[in-house]
Amino acid sequence: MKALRSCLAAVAAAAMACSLAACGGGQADAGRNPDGTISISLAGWTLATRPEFQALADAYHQAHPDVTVELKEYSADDYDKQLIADLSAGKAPDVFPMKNLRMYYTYAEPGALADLSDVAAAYRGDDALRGLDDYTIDGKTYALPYRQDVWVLFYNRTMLAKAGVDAPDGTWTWQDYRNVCARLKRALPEAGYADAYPTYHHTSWQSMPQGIALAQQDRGEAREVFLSGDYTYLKPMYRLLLDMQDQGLTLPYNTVSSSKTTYQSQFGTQKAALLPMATWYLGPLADQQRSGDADRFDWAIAPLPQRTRADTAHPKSFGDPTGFAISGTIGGERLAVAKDFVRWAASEDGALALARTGTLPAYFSDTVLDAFFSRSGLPQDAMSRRAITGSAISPENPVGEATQTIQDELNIAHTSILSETKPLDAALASAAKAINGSGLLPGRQE
Amino acid sequence: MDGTRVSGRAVGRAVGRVAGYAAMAVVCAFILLPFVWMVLSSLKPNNEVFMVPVRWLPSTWHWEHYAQIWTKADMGTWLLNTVFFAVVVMLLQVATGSFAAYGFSKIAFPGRNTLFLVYVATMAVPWQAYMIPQFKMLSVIGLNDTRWSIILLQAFGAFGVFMMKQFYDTIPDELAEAARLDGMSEFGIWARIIVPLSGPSIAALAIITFTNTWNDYMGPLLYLRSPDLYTIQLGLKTFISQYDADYAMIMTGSVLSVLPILVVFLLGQKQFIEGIATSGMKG
Amino acid sequence: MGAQDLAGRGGGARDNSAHVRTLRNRNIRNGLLFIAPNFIGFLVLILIPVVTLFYTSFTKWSALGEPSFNGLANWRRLFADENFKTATLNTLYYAAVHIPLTLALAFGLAVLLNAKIRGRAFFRTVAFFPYITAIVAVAQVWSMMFDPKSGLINQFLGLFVDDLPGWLSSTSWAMPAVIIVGTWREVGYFMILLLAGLQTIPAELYEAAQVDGANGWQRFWHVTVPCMWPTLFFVTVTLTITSLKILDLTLVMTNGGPGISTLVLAQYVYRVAFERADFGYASTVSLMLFFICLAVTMLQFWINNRRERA
Repeated sequence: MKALRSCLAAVAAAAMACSLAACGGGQADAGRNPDGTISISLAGWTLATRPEFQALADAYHQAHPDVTVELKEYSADDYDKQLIADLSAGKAPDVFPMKNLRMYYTYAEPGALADLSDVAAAYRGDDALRGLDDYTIDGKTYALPYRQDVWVLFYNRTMLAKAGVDAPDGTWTWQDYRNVCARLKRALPEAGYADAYPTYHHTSWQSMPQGIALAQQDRGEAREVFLSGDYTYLKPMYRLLLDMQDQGLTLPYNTVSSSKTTYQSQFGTQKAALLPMATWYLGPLADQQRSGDADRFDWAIAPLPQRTRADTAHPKSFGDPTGFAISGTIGGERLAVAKDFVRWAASEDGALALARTGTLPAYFSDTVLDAFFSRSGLPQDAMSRRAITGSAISPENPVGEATQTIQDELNIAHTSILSETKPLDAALASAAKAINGSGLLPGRQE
Repeated sequence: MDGTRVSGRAVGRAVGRVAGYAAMAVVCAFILLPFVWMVLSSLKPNNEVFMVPVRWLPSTWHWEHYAQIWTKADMGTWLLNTVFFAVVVMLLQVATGSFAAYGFSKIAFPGRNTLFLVYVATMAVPWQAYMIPQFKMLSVIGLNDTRWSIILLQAFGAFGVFMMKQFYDTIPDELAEAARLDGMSEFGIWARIIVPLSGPSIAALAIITFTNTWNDYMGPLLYLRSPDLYTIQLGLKTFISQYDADYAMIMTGSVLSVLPILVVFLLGQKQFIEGIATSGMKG
Repeated sequence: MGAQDLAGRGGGARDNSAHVRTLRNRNIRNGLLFIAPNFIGFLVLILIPVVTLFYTSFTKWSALGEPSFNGLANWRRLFADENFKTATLNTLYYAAVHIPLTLALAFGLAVLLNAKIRGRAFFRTVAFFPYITAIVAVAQVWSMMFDPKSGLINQFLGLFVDDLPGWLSSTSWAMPAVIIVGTWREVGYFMILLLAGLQTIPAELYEAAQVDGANGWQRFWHVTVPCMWPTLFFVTVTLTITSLKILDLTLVMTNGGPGISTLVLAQYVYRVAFERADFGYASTVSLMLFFICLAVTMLQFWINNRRERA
């Protein structure tokens, strides 16, 4: 009996210890195989249906025949939950994506990611690579971008033409945008689009409009403003959205959220003539038109409308880069190979492999964009290209210790404001109060 | 009682019965509506599933989704894995649960009430809070991404013990006492007297454990990485990519996923015998 | 009933204390043997991780790296946290309405579907359907029905009242909407458990009651309810715990909104843990949820024990 009891106690203590301690555990840090080959593991999602990760793995292997990149399947939807678990138990793959910037600080801060500052240094001054600076924490870099999406304005040229409304010309302010929508509201039913709205705002995501408002505000650099604890810069965009949903220019938030509307179903089946959305929709829209899942119509993209006419000369938009990071537990030869893969994925070579799959890479060189737009079904006009290359891109989730808390609180404000259950000022004030009270903002730590 | 009153009452009863069945038919339609929506959605082009304005019927009927889910996706593997997990967990939960419940219900030992309360208390802790420590523990012994992880995770919950113990409490203690005086071992009493009397409760526990394991998403999400270990719930999530999703396929899979549960349910509820059971006291 | 009573009664035939002691020891051994297969798994896989919460609730921990002790900081934060306060009230609101409603409906349905009616197996299956229908489909169809303008529910209510509820787009009506769907979804589940319990009632008791001239209602109160007591107790405790821990439904239907009007404690734990990667504070919040559950459950156990003794 006593022996049993002490045995149980020992098991319990051991189990408890390893459930909390930072169990390195980790895989045996194998270097190269005897024949000189080495394989590194790479996390990816929707491997069966999206060629993005496979294309990178194959192209890298082709350029470096001694290295095999093995893909490990993760959930696209709940990726961060799986990654947190794996990193906490030391079971993460060698290389894994940072889906966006929201969780980046959480991973980097406790040392779960390898320091890639030396790799990043190779790209300093290379303007073609977008999003690199977003990964800087205290002068160090723990991930390199390989994809960079930008928010733009999608428009259905066929619908606009039938309604007799001019297509966006890259000089629109939000006021122009609103006026066009008002004209479309009158013209669309006569043009034969009975149940269509002028535009669709995908307000299930707080980035519509918070990402836009942060990118286009004139108070200062996005990261500083975001971490300042003052969120009144969001007001003009929210006033616009509230006004537009009250005027019936777009599907109201309450419908969008309760019916889980997808933007593809609204724009792809011509239920909306305009759509502010990110470039990740370009490839899928072209594909869906080919497969018949979306209607066939003529469409293109333009830069997002701007706050002032002057801004339209240098449009401001937003979008988080997607990057690759390396597990902090690996070292030696393995780390060197992993670093080279991450460097390559950010380069023009990696970008070309990616661009051919219909994914917009982070390396915006002419060659890469040519490759990207060569995919059939994508718009070929100069404005569509300018919408991508000409926009200054702010991060959606500027990196800091408070990032997740800020976004969570601002999301609560977002649903209160757009459901019109709480006045704009009050909702933003209570979010600011909670964020400032968290003690996580820079310079305000306990 | 004269004839007219009897027939009057009979007519009234018949009308009442028809009205009762009509009411139940309406209620059934109401209850099945989301399932009907699921079936119709599985036959739609993807963009019509979450479209506004809502449309109930597909513009074109895509019966081929039910073929594609087996060929383009790995539904066969997912199905086999899910059946394996659900059956093993169900057997373990029923076996260890009813075994432990016998100890709690029919054997008096000091501290059993406290221990029992500890069991029940753990049910009150949200899993999201302790899943990471649990994951780390199982990973240290190398059980992450193995079949064992899901089995161990699900098989020892307090639910089965609590449920079976309460059912055993309804069986008179005298039955066990009498058998003890006859010199029967405790195991014999459990196997030959108590278990045969608890058919309906074992069936209920089996149905519920099977359903919960079958529909579990977070457990497999956290523990399984290899596609050849995926369950249906986890597999269906591969239709969701970063910014869009194939909802029609998800609905197709969800419809198919309901069928095995129905089979288990129909088998299990046969244990709920006609009308009221005769008690164990007779037997 | 106490362990002593049972041991004493078992040895009643030959009353001597030595025998009582052997019986007691035998009972301990047998009891532990029966419990062991489940208990060992339970201890290692559930109890130990749960116990670690008591430590992590006093730490700052992002799940990566080791938890660092930060004293009472999480607990102080808890009592100033508006989200936590609202989530607690929402949880209690949900539980207070959902528990009695579900229990009454599930019990009624179980009794009804235990009677000899035609198509019983079919109706039982239908009643179980909401529990096995994909939750996305459930949320979607109910959202359509709750639509303030075009939804079936308001069109029906519109026949009687003018001031129609806004349901999911209103902070005061979103929770009732969630409760309705939660009840609709879980009635079949608890019906199964209660059906199993109904099977254990000896038919003789009903016959005896009938001979005594008891009507249907009296038979229900004086035969069904007392015989079902252990099952009812189990169902009530389970229902209480699942209601206080409700998560998946609000996650899919409202995601806690509008604002935080349907944010419940379990979802707050989930948010703090996975949206904010603050597992230390998530432990603190989940311990509070645990204490609430425990207090209610203990109360139920206490009532149950009193009743059994009476």
